[in-house]
Amino acid sequence: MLETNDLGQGTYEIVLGKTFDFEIHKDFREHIKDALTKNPRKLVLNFANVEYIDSSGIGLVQLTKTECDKHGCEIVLSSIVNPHVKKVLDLVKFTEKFKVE
Amino acid sequence: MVQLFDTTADNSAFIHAENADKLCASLKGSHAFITAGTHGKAPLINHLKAESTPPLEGTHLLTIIAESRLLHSREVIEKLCQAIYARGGIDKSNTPTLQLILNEVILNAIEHGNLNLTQVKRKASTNENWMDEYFEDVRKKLNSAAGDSPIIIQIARKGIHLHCQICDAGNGFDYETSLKDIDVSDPYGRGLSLLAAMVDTFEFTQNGANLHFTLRTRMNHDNYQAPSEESAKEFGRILVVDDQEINRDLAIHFLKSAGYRFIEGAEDGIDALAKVEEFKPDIIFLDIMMPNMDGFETCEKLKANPETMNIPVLFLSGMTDIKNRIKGYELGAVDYVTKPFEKQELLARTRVHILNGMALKSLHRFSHRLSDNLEKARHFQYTLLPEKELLAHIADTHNVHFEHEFIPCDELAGDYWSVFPIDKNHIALSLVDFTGHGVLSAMNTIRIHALFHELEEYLHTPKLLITHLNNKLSRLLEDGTFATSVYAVLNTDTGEMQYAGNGAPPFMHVNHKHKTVNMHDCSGFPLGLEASEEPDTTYGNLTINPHDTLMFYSDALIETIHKDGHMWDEYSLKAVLEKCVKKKQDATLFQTVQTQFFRTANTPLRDDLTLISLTYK
Repeated sequence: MLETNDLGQGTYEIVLGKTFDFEIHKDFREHIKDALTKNPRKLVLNFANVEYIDSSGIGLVQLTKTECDKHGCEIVLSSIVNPHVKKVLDLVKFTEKFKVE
Repeated sequence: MVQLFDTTADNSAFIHAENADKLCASLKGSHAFITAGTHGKAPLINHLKAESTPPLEGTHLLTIIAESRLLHSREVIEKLCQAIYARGGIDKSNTPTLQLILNEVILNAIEHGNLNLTQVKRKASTNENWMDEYFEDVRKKLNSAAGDSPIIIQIARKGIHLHCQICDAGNGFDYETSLKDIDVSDPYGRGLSLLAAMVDTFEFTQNGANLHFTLRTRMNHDNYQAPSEESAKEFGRILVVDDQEINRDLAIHFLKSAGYRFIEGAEDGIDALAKVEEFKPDIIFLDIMMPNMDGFETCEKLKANPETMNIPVLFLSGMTDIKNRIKGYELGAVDYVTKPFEKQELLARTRVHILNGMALKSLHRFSHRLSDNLEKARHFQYTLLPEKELLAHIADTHNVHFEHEFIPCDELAGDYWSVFPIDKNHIALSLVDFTGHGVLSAMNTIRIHALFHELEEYLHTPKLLITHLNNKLSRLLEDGTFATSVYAVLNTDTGEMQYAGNGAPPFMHVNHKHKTVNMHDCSGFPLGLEASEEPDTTYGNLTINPHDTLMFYSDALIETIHKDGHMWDEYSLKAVLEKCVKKKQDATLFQTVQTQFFRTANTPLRDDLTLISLTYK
């Protein structure tokens, strides 16, 4: 479901699946862990496919930020195209707090 | 109405895939159902009776009582939302919001309530692997006996609000602290912050074990859906009226065995009329020979009452002669079955008539709602036109008198006209006719109304106004949609007028002094087809004298077919005006044109008609 892409120049992208909630947390955490072992400069969470996110998904994004901060890696949210996903991310002010591309 | 499932085949799975399917499948039909495991059966049933779950007010849509294990699933919650949508509780655009909220509150009730994981989560959230550990705890607890504890979900609709009540079997949780903690940057308690941000009202009671929230939503009016045979059996209501108990029972038995769920019996016409009011059947089987009130009289009464006249009546009678059959049909029955009847025949006819009856009922509801909305829209559209007070004011301040007519051919029109007092000696007049009529064109009239206000600074100069208007409309209008327009600015001190025409019919200038009528060309490229620095517009100017009249109109005036098979064209309109101006008469030019047009025009009109006359005093 999830996919990690090496975009070059120390940038890694994790392409999220259709749903982003507690049911994928294990898979997601593993992808993050793997990506961080490569000492990335920048980690992109690609929301292009995400149609549903809940508070667990939000929690996972927050957790990822904490870990990226520890590794001195920038975190970016990209391609938030679904209006409902955008609404939720807006509500929790993630679109302000995070760099969005 | 309540279905009881035993879901205990296997308690070990995190989510019972099979039971979830069963749950989801049953969400399609019944209004309330319970799933209960062996461990959970007693507490579930107890909970159902408990006073802690008072019924919701409003129209009840759904009640679900199920184990935590079963409900701790996005798939089940998604299906739950679809069921609420299918029952008309919400419309499509609200479904994702409701799904997110229900997901948060149901998971909240399970994790904080039934599984009592609040403290665990608090502790866990201080360590970076807290989420992994937390979800592991949830999984373990769901698989233990705690996973059997039930959640009760009730959904109702009252007015513009959807009411939801989620009740768990736990001892509550410290919701006050959690609500205080609402901080979006804190990974803990975000579910509640989302709830707070998205619903209209919410309230925890029973120490947090009971949550009631309301969400303002539109109802599901998305589509008219024709009833299926399945839904006929599921929801179709049948009233069997017969004084002979054995006949009644036989028919009811046949119908029940075929899968119909809602069947009621009545023993004579009087009983039937009372039951109809209360039971609201979709179809009535009516015996003819009955004491107190016979079938014919009952049918007559049903057909005379607007509330019941559309319910299909099917006579079931031992009387086989053609005279009675004809009488039955004449009274408005849809069918006549002779007794003794064959089971298959009765069922086949029931199926046909109940489906027709239900389809008719839904269509009536649908069309009623639609015409109600159109009526409101029509009222709204009239508010866009110049108000009487404004016209009276302009008559005083600018010495210009208006007479006007606006007749939409459908409920809504694609014509629009307006008058703008620009300054103390200038007024502007606009008449716009969008392609087509009906809802889409009416929406465009709202657009143009807004555009005129937006472009207020250009009202003085026809050329600037039309260029901006055309460019804006070109961006806004759907492909192939355009508007013909005439726009005029009159200096009310001097009588000098400038105008711009874009594909509109010519307006008429009636000179009272010389008793002449001049046509002014308003051809040109219609507005909204393509943006341009210099749209192809006909510009012109003229001077009008006191008592002169200008007549503007939409093309329905010259393109309506009259009883003689011909249309008026601009020349015949000119001729009418010439004749009128030469002959001294009491009626105004406007009244004369109006009367003559409607005397011979084929009505209802096939296009929207706007007719405006402006007389300079």
